Amino acid sequence: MADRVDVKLTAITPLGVKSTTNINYANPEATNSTLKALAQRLNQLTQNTYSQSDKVETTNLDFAPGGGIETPTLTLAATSETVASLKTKLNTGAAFAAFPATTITYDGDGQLSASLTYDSTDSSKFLGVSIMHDSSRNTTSLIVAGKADCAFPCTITIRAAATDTYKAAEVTYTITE
Amino acid sequence: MADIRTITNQLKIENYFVDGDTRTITLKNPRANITSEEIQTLNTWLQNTNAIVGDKMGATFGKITKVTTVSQTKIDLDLNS
Repeated sequence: MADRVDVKLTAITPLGVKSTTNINYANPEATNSTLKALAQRLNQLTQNTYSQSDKVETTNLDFAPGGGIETPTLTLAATSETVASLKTKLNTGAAFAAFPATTITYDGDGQLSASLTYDSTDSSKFLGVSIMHDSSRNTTSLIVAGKADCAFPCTITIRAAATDTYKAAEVTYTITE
Repeated sequence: MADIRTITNQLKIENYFVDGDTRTITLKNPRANITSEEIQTLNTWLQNTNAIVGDKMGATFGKITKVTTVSQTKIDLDLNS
């Protein structure tokens, strides 16, 4: 809804007591003199002594979806990894849980996504990225898996989508030679 | 102590907006001699100036549909005398 203008009419009753009447639906485009005239006309119907009319303006900030103003926390436990370290971890044949991983902390309500950018046209070389989200702990694990021999450095960008409440956010995870 | 008698008088002006909504302006201590011409004048003035609008979607003022005066007497009884 658009902005709203209220008129607060304060009058003094015949007993000398203040009496306030709110007209909660004045026209936002009405001029001050029109609103004053409205207050005077209404007051003329009463025995009250005219005192004052206050124009109270309410501005509704209509946020479009994705126009949130809260800044979410989006952090990574580790922001970089070297190829040597990755290979060591991958070649040990460890269980899935032992794959090179880092924890993402995110306290917003947007959807998380990840994308990988690297300078290679060789599609046989790839580096897999998966995101695991544990909603009960409000944490997300980034699992870096697959053949870690694409061109380096490569960057994994984790994005949190903007919502009505939260701004968009992004962090990067870099794998270097 | 005697009984305490409080008399409240209100004037209720019911306004109709073109979106079908109505809103009532309540004024305390109305004059006793309000004429229908005065209400008609106010009605015309509101129609011409558009000073008030429906607060749901800003609908244009249509007309004053009803004006009532409400008189309420409250008596606090003195039960100790």
